[in-house]
Amino acid sequence: MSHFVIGSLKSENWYTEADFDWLPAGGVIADCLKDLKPDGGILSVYEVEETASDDLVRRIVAAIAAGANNPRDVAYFRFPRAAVEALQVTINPDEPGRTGDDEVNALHRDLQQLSATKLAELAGAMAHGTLGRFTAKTLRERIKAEVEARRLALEKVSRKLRDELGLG
Amino acid sequence: MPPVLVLPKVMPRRPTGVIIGSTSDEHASWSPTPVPLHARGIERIRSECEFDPDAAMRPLAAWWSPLVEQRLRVLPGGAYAYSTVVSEGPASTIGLVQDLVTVTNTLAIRAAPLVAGADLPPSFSTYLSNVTATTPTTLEVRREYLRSRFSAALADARSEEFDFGAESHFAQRIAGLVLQHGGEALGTFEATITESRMPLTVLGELFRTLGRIRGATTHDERRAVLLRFLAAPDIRVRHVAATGLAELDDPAAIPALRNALTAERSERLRSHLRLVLDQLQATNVALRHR
Repeated sequence: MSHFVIGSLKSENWYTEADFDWLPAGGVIADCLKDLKPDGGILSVYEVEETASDDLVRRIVAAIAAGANNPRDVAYFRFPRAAVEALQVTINPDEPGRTGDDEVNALHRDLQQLSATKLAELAGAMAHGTLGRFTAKTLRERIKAEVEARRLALEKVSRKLRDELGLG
Repeated sequence: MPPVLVLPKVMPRRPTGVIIGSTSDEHASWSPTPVPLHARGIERIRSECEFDPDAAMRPLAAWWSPLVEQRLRVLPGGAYAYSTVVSEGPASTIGLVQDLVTVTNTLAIRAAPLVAGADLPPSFSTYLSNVTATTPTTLEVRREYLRSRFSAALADARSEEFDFGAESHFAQRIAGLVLQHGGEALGTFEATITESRMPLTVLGELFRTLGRIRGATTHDERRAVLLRFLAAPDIRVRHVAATGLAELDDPAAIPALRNALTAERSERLRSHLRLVLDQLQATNVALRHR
């Protein structure tokens, strides 16, 4: 069974019942919903094999962040596809991602027809997945490394960030 | 009707107790009195005093801060020399401060203009001495001003969406206050955070901004503020304080982060602290090899 990856999150918004005893089992503070920002009932995620390395997951997160002018620290979750299927969420694999990394774009999936209730349940599933993070500095370093390794297209990195990273 | 005063024939060149400043950040979008009264005030000062308003006002052209010299005192209920910079150049007068209010980003000083009249203190300098003994210092008024500016920024931040990857308007305002007012701004921020319940989203943006500002002048003070909140009772406040320290990227925070890691019980926050610690240790190594 594969995993989904979602990036562009703020880690302080994803505390669970392990840290707040007023939350029920499987719960997560509602602040996490501020990070999800579905559009038209659609949420973007990326799908990787269950055995995929953490390095691939971090490559995905860096590719997503590279288009931003001012990337900050970012959190991401890796969570099982089964949790999404259990919520009977429609998964559309036909819309490629729009990052500067073609391999990453091929992994893009749209989670569609999300109601507010399903989004909240989905957030709970994410929050109990595997959390990863970048600091702003390590994220920038990773984006630079991806460009230098020619995995990430330079033109898809924001102009401001290119200048900051000395990428021309 | 506020009391008015008459200037003595000889006014000290640097009158104790008189504060000189602008009425606005924008070099004068606000004026407490009609322009003709300003002009009348200047004329009167020139004709009756040794005090040279043009010389006193000159620093304002270079610095827009409304409160110019720390060792002078502002005098609510007392004398106040103020200036507005209008298109034809600085205008100034002396008035009676009634109160200080904030209008959007502007510190507005309500003052009655200088006019000749009855019921006046017998001596301006004696009057000033009496008032300065009982009124807040400039420093206190500066703090009040900064509190107003910070509160206005916070109020606006509550409705601002902090998008990933975009520099927020709030962050720009905070950075501006720190660059202009240095450690004094940080003290005001810290007091306000402690006294009021600030949304975590805004606090996170504030701490990230404090870490991100590039300027050696306030570096140590910003680190000190972030370190103090690293011991906050609220787990998420500790979290964003650590995030601010990552933005600051100063290895001097390593010992405090180690202590925080030892004391922390939340595994999720411990993981975040380790991430920040790893970054600072890598920075430390890089600095040593430079």
